[in-house]
Amino acid sequence: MKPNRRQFLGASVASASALSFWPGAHAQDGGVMTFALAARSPNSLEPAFVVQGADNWVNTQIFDTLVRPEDGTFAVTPADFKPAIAESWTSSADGRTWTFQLRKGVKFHGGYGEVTADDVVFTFERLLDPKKPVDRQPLYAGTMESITAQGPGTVVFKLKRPDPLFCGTILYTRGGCIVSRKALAERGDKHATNPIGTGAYEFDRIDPAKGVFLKAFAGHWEGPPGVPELRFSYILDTTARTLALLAGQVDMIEGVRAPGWIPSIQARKKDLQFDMTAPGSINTLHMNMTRKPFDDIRVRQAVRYAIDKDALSKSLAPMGRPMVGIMAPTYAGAVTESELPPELRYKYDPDRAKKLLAEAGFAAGLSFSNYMSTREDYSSNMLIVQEQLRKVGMNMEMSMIDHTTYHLNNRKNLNTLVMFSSSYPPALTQIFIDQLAKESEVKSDGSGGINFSHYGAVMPGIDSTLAALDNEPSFDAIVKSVQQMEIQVLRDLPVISLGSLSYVIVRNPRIDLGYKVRSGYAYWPLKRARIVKA
Amino acid sequence: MTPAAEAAPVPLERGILAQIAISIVRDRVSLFFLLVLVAIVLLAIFADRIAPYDPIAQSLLSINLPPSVEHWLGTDQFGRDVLSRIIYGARTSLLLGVTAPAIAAVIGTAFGVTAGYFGGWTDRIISRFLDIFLAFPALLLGILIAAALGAGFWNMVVVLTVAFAPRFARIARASTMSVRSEAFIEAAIASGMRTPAIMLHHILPNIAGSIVVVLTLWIATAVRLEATLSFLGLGTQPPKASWGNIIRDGLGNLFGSPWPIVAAGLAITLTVLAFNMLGDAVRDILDPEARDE
Repeated sequence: MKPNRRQFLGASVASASALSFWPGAHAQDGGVMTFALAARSPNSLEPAFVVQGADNWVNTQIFDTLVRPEDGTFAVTPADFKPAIAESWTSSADGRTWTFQLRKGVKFHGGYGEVTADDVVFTFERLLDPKKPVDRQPLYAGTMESITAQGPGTVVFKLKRPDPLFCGTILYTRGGCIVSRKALAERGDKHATNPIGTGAYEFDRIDPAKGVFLKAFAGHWEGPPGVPELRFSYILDTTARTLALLAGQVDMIEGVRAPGWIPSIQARKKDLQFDMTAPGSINTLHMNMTRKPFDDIRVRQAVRYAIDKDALSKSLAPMGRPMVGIMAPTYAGAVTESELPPELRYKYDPDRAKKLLAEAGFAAGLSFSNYMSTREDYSSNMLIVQEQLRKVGMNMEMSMIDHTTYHLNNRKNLNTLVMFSSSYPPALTQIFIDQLAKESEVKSDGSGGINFSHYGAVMPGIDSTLAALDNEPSFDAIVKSVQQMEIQVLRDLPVISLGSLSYVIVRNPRIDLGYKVRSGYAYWPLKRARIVKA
Repeated sequence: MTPAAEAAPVPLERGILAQIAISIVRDRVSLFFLLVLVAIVLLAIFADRIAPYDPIAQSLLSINLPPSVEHWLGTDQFGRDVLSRIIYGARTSLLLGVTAPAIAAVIGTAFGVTAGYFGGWTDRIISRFLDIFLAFPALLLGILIAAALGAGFWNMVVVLTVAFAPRFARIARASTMSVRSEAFIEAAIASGMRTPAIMLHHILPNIAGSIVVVLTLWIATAVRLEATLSFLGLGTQPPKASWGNIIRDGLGNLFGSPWPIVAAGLAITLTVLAFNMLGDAVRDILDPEARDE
């Protein structure tokens, strides 16, 4: 054997290695439910300071909030919230004072006693501490003025501005997970790797090789959960994660949001269950109006007419759904096509797109360069957009970069057509404030927000409407304003919605979740889950 | 011809190319791989005439189709014809696979011959530089440079050239050193022949054989690295087809529709194998010791 032939063998094995990946086998225990997350390892089990989405799955099981929606849904209106640690609540007529009565006998894990009003005050006051790296701190600090305990069982929130959806914007969030003042005082930073909550599962241990182990909390206020032990394993590689599920090594995995993925995995194992949120992520396409020729409304309209939203959604079926405006169709405030004047319906029309481009002086077509993330949900959407734009003569020269760099580049105003994917609770104005308000305008030094189109800065936007809502306590009045903003955004077209994309979990049928997942955040409680087949 | 050149015998036999051709044709395995390579080259050159479909045209209503009469290798997750993408991918892979090693061979040989011929400090300085580059595996160096320069075809040529040139330099240096001590070089120097002429007329022809063998091997490596870098998103940019891209795009649907990955994997394997086998055959002819084994 000559050395170069040996080298060759090594080379071919390396080329084929994508096919030969297989995780280590282990037996499936009858009393354990295993969930494989799309991450390298656990990062923070401190719910308010989470930087990696996968950790929310673990934290949701360990912690409870004051109120919560029905399992498997998002609370769309104030009446949809159910009691949890709080038993009942009232709000003042101006929507600025909220008083909660706590349930008696809600116990913390590890013998840390019952939840008191003081723990609730502690939980929310720490969200306002500017020294703490709290996710979405501007939202908490911009809403809450003070939190006070009135005796052991009553908490009063005073707000800076009226918020009819206070239960959703603040309480049912990651920061709203109730923690124990005593446990935090004792454990300090170690709480993030050894947390104490009140949830149906309590933290057991972290095993660097096997993941995070939780065990049923017998003292939970709703009674113990249906599975004695939960294990979260961490498998970032999508192929390996899928193989682990197909081989029965794990019971649930985070799905892959690429065209044809669900049908293809269904073909491999017919009885797999798919739990999907709707809307899931809202995928928007921002057109950077500081870059020519996207300052021209005709070019932006051409982009809108060139994109076939229905085909795009169908290719991502059953996860993808078309959208009209930027509000998810199931949320209050979303406009429907029939409510729109004909010129704002933008039916797919490539010829119209070409005509608009010609009017704008680009009869021969145009070229621009663009960054794109390699993450599958981003790249699949944008590769389709690229091809649809090519058909009308717009040539998008794409540079594929890793997901983190992609977001860093976007935040420095380095991109032209920016796709952004994020899930929103039905909090009415939140997506407008995040993505379209002047105060969220992206800045080249990276200190700005995620308004990548510069709407409100290079042209008048929706800022006056948003300002008028600051003192609006009526839910219905806010809904009406949101609809107006939807129509204005469709007219000015700084941003196009590409559609919504469900977050999906694939589940072995031996697990019964106990309820149907319809909407909600990209993580949900497993306390009602049961192992129905060994 | 100068008297000096006449004075120096050139040991390289006339008609070496003819010899190589005859040996390859006589050896059935080599002949087979030569034909494979010719076929791949023809596919690459005439891609636009051979490919049945536009390799980037999507058809969102017919995604992940299995092989059929219309689509011999099925369609990918965007409904693009896999066969057409493989054919166009051959163009990308071969263009890069030949261009980068060829440039690297020229640059590397220049440095290697200089170092080997002069020896002393020149050799030490050049060799230490080579050592620095050789300390990094070609792939790692490739990823580092690609990450710094950004992705794209010509950046990939730069990446692979930088990664490969030191390897050629090493071979050229060693071969030059052994030729340098031959009597005919001494004779050429004694007869007053100028150094560049000696390098060009006496050194180069004698080390060309080893460089050609190394070249075929690194062409194979370049094809493989192109696939690897494209797989990582650092190489050929979408929607342009390359074998690495096809594998990356197909990975998400590996379970339901493995056709793109299998086809691109086979294409890479076959091309790399063909270059390696031919490289071996050429080496056997040029290196009698290896042939006698």
